Amino acid sequence: LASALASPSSALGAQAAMHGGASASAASRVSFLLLVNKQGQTRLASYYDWMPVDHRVQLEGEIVRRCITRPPESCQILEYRGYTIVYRRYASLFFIVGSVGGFHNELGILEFIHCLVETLDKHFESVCELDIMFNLDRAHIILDEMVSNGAVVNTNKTSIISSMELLEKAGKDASTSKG
Amino acid sequence: QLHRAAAPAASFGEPRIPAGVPGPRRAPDLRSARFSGVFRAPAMAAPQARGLHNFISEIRNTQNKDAEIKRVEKELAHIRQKFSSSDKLNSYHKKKYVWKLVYIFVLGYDVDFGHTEAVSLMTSPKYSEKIVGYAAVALMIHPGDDLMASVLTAIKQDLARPDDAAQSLALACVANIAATEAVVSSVAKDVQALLVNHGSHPAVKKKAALCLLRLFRANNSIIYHSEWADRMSSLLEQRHLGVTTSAMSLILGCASRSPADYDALVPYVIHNLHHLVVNRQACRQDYQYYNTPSPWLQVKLLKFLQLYPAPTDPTQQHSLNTALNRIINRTDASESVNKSNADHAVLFESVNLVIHQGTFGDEKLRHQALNLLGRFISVREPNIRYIGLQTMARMAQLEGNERIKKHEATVVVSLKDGDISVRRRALDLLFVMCDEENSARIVDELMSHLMVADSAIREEMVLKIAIVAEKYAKDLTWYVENILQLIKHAGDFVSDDIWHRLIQIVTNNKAVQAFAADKLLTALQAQHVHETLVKVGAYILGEFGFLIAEEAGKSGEDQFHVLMGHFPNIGHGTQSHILSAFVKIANLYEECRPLVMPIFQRYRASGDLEMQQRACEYSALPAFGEDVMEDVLREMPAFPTDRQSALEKRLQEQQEAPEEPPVSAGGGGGSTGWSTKKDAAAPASSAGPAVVKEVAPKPPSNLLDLDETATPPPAAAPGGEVVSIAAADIASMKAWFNSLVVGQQGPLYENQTVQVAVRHVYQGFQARIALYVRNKSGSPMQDLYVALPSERYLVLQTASAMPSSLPAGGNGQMQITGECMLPYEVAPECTISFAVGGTLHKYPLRLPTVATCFMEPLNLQAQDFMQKWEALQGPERERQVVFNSAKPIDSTLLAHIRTTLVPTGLRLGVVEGLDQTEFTLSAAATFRTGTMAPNPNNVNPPPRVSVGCLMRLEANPQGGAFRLTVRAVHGTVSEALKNVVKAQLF
Repeated sequence: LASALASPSSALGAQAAMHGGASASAASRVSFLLLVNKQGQTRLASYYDWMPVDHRVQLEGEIVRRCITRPPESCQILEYRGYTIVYRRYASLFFIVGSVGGFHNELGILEFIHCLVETLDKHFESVCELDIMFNLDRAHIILDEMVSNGAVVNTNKTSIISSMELLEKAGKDASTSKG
Repeated sequence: QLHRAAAPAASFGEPRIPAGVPGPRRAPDLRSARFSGVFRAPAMAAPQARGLHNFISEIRNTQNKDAEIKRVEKELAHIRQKFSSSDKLNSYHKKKYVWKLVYIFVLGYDVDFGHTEAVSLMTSPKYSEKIVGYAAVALMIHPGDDLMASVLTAIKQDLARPDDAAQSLALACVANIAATEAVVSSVAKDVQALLVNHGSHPAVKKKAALCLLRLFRANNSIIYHSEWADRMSSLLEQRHLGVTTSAMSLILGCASRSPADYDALVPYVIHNLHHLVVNRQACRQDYQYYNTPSPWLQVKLLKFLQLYPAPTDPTQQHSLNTALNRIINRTDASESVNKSNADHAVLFESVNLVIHQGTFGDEKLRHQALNLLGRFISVREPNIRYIGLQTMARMAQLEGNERIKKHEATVVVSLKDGDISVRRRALDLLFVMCDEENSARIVDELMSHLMVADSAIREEMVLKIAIVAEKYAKDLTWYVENILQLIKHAGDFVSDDIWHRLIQIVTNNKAVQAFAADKLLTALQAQHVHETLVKVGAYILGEFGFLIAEEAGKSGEDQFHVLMGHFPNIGHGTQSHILSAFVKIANLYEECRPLVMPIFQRYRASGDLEMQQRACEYSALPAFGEDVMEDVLREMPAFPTDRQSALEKRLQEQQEAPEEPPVSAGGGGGSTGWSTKKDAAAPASSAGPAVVKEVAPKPPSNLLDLDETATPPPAAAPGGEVVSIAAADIASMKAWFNSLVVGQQGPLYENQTVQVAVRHVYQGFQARIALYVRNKSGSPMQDLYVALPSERYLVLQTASAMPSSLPAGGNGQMQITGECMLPYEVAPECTISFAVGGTLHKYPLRLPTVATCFMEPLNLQAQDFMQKWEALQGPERERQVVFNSAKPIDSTLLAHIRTTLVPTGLRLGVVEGLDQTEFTLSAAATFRTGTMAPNPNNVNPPPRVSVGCLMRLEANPQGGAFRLTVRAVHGTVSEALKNVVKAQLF
């Protein structure tokens, strides 16, 4: 690391980043997505960077505490420990997205959350917290269809839901084979 | 088939959720009875999840955390028992237990077993089992897991399976697990094949693109950029928006590492953007979000374009500007908050692009974008305001604050917003907005806000005020007063760096010393003051108290009593500072000695080691005689000037005739062993012995550097005992390196232990470099060794070696000869290692032997230059970069570049008579290598390969930016020259 820092080429790299835009603009990506209720219980979590369990528990707790205590007229963006947090509240549930890198498009993330919620809603027909709890498998599959490696892959609700249909079918096969 | 679906959803009319929520900003869209209706029966769970369902219900019904832990532990024990029993579990149970483990893991419990079962589900031929296995593995497996090898085998099998669903699962899993070297090496080829294979299903391609990006981030070498640029353009040509969306993520990731390799994609990206924005029907209904054509794709396209300068081709220019114009001028406020957010996401990204293009883009658009920003920072909607402030701050960094200064009052309103996030952005913006003209007002504003600000933001505010106060101080008394105010109002948040810096500045500027001493004495007369103030006061009064001692009520004795008054209420660290101040006072004023000596006596037995040592040394000092006393208690020397900040430079320019120090100390006759200040006032050439040295705060590196992205110190080598380059030194190293590149000699590195300097001369392809090492430490330096790099492009040899040991304070040098053999970009790195007092030191340092060192100026006629310039077109040969100037672009700077920097420093011949104004400059040079060229005619001396290179530099004084274009037959030479020139001006 020291040698990299001492090298002029990396100095240029740093300058490029400072130059704004350039390399930093692309570095923005989602590091984790959480669905947490007001009591701080995690209902859905997907981390795109590995993090040990105890760190996750602590991080989730602190972020939720911060989101909950923010007055309703606040903006839905905050910075915490180097993460840019964008969150959206639906009744007692918080959808929280933490991004790393630079130059995020916060409004884009905000609406992606809503797109996710709409997709869940379309699949579960008026989704509620319990749907997600009891169908963690399906919620995860939907999420994986929409976010991959911290980037938005799919926002087409029809095609996302269709991937679920095969699971349903496979699930039925399995249960019949079980007898 | 899993992914066949995706038929155009004509019925996808009004989405259900937001139907009831137009109007207010952020409608809690799902409020109503949905999420709050906790007791509504959930959607029918799939049959195989029955056991899981029960378990989750039980967890939900636990009364408290303890009960939950108990229930989880019980379940874990149960599952563990099931998994370890010899009975073979059927598919239903296996899936159920693995899902339970996933659920427990998501709740935040460590799950250290069951991974084998998850992996075995992955390999199942049944999709319903496979999907469970993959979900569990993607979530739970960690990089060092023993099962990683089996996971990879399973993934590889599925990637090779002619089954879209299995391939998709495998790809999604790779995209989510940590990309270790093992992962990269085993699947990279398969993933690449799936992405470029024409037969791959779009859903597979989408996942493969993101997957490849993950692998690329872990290991850059898996993508040969030149090869992939083509493949990616074909991905962009696809009409499948889903594929384009994820391909754009991959392209962004690659292009940001190596923009030059992907500039051929710019036309495709512009085309796609134009298509989405202008021909809106091109976007299928199901990719529209509230009637906005795929906003996320638009954002990615716009981000990509921010890697490049504005297009010069008129068709592309028109196409892009039409799209930008449409976005910037036709984004209307919408009834739906979702529509409005999506549109503004695109709008902000367009504003970013327009700002990035700067004066090279469309002037009218730029004007409109700036107006929009001005409006955004005053709207009530907090998200828009937040991002508006953030964008404006970014703009200020790119092109100075001229256009945004008028918004100062608006920004100050946001500084008082109820929302901490908004306040932070406002603070950032105010900070970058500062200049000489408005800094006093802004500092006052920040200072008055500081008193009511909450603790979450105070620390940041204090640091920023300190930096601004220093950077823009018209006179130093203003700076001193502000820092003292900071200590008074937010003492807990004033870091050591800040008060160290204050002392450094006062010590180095005589004009402000008496003022500072006076201010501090007055401030310390209050009964309760912050401890930091006592520290600063003790130091300043100890050093400069004599400057005010003649005034009524400020005599040495008065100063002693003021400091003594705080003595009982402070910690040992500060008390130690006071002891040092006392010994200086005692040295100056005979009448104070009887006051001071008993205190030293008292603390000679102090439990605090530092106190004890100081008390002992100070009380023993008179016994050493007058000379020693004088030496020891001399004024502290000025801090090294290489630590100078912008502030000090400005000050020195202003104060052309520095005043003589007022040496009217009121010491009276120095008859005993104590010398008077007058005797000791001669500027000290060397620092006093160690006794007092320790009192001096360690000179911090320039405070302004603190604001730069903090670079973490290099990780300690195994064993943690090797000293290397400190993070704080990196800024100075960059500056030294850059000035060495254009100069013959100078420092390369310096810290408390060692100084390394270089002198270097070049002739053609040959180099002679002398490396000097000085041992600054107080102990001998052993095992000194300089490891030279062995590079094919630059052959370095030791002509005379470095001594292997240096005494304390000793110097050593080595001579190096070198020959440049090939074009290269990265300066060679040598490593200097040695041991001092048992500690190993190792410093990897780049030699300033950059490509321009081997340049020879080429004096071309204007006509010849243009002819060669035209002949060297093409992406392999040309490099272009637009960047901001480090200094304001004025005639002085331009003249310096034309007459000194380019011809002497960079060894390029300036072409005369070509450029009509001072704002453009053309130059040419020949890059020499020692590689033999073919010599069919046996010419003597044999010809060597050399590379001609041309450069044009265009300045934009209003925007404070340069555009640099370099052309050479060899792309590496262009790249190297571009980097060197930019480093000098950026």
